[in-house]
Amino acid sequence: MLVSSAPFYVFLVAACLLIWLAAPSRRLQLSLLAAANLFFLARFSLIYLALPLAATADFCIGLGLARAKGKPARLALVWLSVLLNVSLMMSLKLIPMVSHLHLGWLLPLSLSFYCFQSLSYTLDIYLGEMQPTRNLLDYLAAALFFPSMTAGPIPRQGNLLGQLARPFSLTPERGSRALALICVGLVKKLLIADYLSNNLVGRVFDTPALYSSAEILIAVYGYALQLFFDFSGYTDIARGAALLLGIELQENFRTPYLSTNISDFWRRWHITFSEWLRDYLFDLLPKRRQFPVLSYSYAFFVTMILGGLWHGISWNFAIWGALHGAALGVVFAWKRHGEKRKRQRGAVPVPSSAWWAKLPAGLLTFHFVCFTWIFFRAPNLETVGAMLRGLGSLTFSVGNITPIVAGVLLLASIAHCLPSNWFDRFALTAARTPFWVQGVAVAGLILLIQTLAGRGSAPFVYGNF
Amino acid sequence: MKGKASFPLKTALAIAVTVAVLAFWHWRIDTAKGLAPAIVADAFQLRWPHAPAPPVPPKPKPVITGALPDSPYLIDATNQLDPVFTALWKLEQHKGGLVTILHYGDSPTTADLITGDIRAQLQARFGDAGRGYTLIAKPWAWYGHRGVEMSDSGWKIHHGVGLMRQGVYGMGGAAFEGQPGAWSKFRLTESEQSAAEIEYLAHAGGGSFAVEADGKQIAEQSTSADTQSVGWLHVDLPAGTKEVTLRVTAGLVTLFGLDFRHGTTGLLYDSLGLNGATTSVLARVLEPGLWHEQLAHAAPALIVVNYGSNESSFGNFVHKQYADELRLAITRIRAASPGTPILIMSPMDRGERSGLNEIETMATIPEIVAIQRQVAAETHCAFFDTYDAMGGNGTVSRWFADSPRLVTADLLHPTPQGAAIVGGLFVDQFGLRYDRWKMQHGIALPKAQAKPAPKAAQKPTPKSRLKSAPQPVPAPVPAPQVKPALPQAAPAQTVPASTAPGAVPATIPASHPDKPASDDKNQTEPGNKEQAEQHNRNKGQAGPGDIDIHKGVVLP
Repeated sequence: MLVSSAPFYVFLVAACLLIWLAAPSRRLQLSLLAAANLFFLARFSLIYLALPLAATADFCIGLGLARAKGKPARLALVWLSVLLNVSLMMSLKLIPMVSHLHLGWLLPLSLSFYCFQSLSYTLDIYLGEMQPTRNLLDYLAAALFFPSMTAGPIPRQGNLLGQLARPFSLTPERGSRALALICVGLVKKLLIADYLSNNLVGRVFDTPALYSSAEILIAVYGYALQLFFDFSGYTDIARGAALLLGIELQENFRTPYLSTNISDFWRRWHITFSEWLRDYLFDLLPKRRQFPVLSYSYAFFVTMILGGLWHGISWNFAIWGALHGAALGVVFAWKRHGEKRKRQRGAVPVPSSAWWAKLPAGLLTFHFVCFTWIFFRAPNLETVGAMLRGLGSLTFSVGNITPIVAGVLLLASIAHCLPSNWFDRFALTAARTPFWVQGVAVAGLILLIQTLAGRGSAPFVYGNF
Repeated sequence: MKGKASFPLKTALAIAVTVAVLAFWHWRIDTAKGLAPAIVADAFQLRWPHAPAPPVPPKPKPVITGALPDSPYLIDATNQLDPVFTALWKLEQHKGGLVTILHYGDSPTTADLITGDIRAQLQARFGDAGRGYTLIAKPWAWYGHRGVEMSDSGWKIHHGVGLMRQGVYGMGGAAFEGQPGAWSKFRLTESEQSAAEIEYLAHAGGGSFAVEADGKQIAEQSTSADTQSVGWLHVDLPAGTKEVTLRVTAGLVTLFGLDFRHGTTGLLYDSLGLNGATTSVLARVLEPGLWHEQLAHAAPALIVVNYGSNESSFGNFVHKQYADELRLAITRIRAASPGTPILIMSPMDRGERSGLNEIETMATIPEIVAIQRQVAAETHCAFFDTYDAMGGNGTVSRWFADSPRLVTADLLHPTPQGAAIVGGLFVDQFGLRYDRWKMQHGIALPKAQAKPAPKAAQKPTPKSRLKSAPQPVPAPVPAPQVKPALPQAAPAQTVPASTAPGAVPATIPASHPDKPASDDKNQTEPGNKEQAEQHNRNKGQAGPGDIDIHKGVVLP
């Protein structure tokens, strides 16, 4: 059940209605939420009804970690959780890869985001960041939280459990904000991301040899925008759906293509994932204080290669991760060099914060990210080669870029750069309008999407990871 | 655990209004939109994982009891294609002539995808008479013509797509109006062309345009005339020409198309694609008088009508009007080009998403194919079932999952690899039908692949995912014995009981487009069967039942 498909909203409305009606009893609400989680999973395939077993194992490990006194026992328990979740994640990735068995259909839902979330629970208990919950129902309501199950954002289990422990609250302002988030997410996914995918990106990446350098370059830009609108569209829908259930999920994107270096980019792109990698992988890798640049660069490299391979076990993703790891190492070394100079020479002029001063660094970062997206999007290295050869052929016709495609690209570029407080203002204004205006506006938008978006929705890109 | 929580009334009412509006819209205004009861039912349907629909198994190879091969996908019950085969046989015998096939179609044709592959394969077998007809500029972003790179500036472009009224267009369904400053460049990227023919509108107050070859002007033509008509400027291109430029030099000029030629003999396969086009373009848009002039000039041996993909988006139109629209188009083609055989080519499979990673065939596609098949039979047109030939129901789902992808993400357009398959399928089945015609007329088929043809006669085999039609063609061998000319009325019945190996008919059998030269029934008659088997035995070939429909040859 794609969160951009109509049945999901029927399910969501039904789930919300039941949970809202049960508002006087938080226990009943959590039971209904856990049941909704299971139904959502079962809707993909009844086979996922076995997932609570894995969740219960992590729940028990959490309890065991709280009781275990000795370090070896705690270490053994946390490794058991790591093994459980990593093997679950790996098996779900590897089974579809065994193409001769054609078993991809058996497990249509990747559970990576569930695994990350569950690992955050046991690792946080191990690291002493939180105490385990003693109620399995609470745990299942949080660990299998359906809005973020398919493609994040990755909530920290401790945060989610904390919110679920509080009384349910959905003010009219938060309700309007939730509806606005869902509407914005649908527009991002169905009107921008899918359009660019079908009419530009897919065609060029499928057959790069048919296009000029300029068209390939525009398609790479198009993919950068498609991916952002696809993924951030999903995040908006997930955050909106969660908000209707009284849960605030973390923001996952902050105008990432306006970053001024690659480190800045990872603070703005898929924020919950990069924070997860930082907290549970990068920070835990051993580093030598005597050689900070070397050891940090190594840690960046390893972290990003593993992050790349999480997207898919292929050379493309390994190279994509390696490029980002190397770039993070370079940025780290550059900053260290700047700090060293500062110490040696005293105060140095503060870089201008004017947009024009940031422009060269921003352009360089954006183009580096776009370059790496070629590896990310291309199905294999041959296609990467064909794309790069096409870019190098220096042909400039743009006959295959239709005015509508150009218009959507322009619109998407502008929309990406809009400050997030514009949305806050819009949501606040929407909250002040009568309920029937909100209802008619949402229905009008859905009808517009049904008219413009064509037939069906493509799966979310990150739904496959 | 009790809280102070309360029911969020305002949000609930807003959602209730949304649901009510969407339900009302679906119920009263448009059943294709809004909230359908089926969506509600679907939301609560649980299921076990299920494997994707298994690929529709390819149709079993038909057991051919007669000696003649036949195509399960190219239906020509009334032998409409016989005149085409006659002309092609002349080409194959190197007796000269020019065979032109016009292929009208929608977006894949616009990009010269399938047609480019068909052209390459048929020209490899029957001779290359040139790149053929290309529009003056790109009316659509995806317009293209294999072997020709186009760039242009300054044209005001008109085309017949989306219109339901007649207009002044060229044979390709578009017109390009330009004043001094307008130009088009055509860079020949694959093979040299010896001539170019520019199709233009002659009319009162016309201007003039110049033709340049590699930057040097080689001709200039006035488009001024007393009455409106179609004009053609034929220019021979200097040897080695890489780039042809058309430039408006004075006044207001309307150009239609540019026809590249290579020599004077061989096959021309003109790709006449209109992006987003439907059958209505042929039924209603092309002006009959001008179209008649254009087709008379082109003198096509065959007109292929290949629409349906765009119609598939409009279910009501397909249910109620499509058959009549197709009949009208056939009538209009016959009026514009009397006596020319018509082949209706069905659309490819087209998919739509039905769930997570699930793609299914649009319900209207098989319906359109069935209508086309029926109309083709009614109107005595040949019919090629592209949809069935490529695998039928679920093909796009499989093609999208293939690596490399055979269909693009819009689940409609083939990738070049997919187009090559469709082109190969068409050529295979066309070749099979051609072989049948040859056998009916006592013409020896090439020997099986195991025995290569004489080196001098071998022709390049085009790339195709399928082992396809162009088989080594034996060089025409002078008939060592006297070979009686085949009587025109019933050629199949005059297949000689004994024919020397390599013998060919001394004369080409006459065609009978309106009356079958020989039908299937004739072929199964014992006498004919025996004659054909005897013929095959004499050729060292197998008898009945050994026909591989995918190769179009009789196996040893």
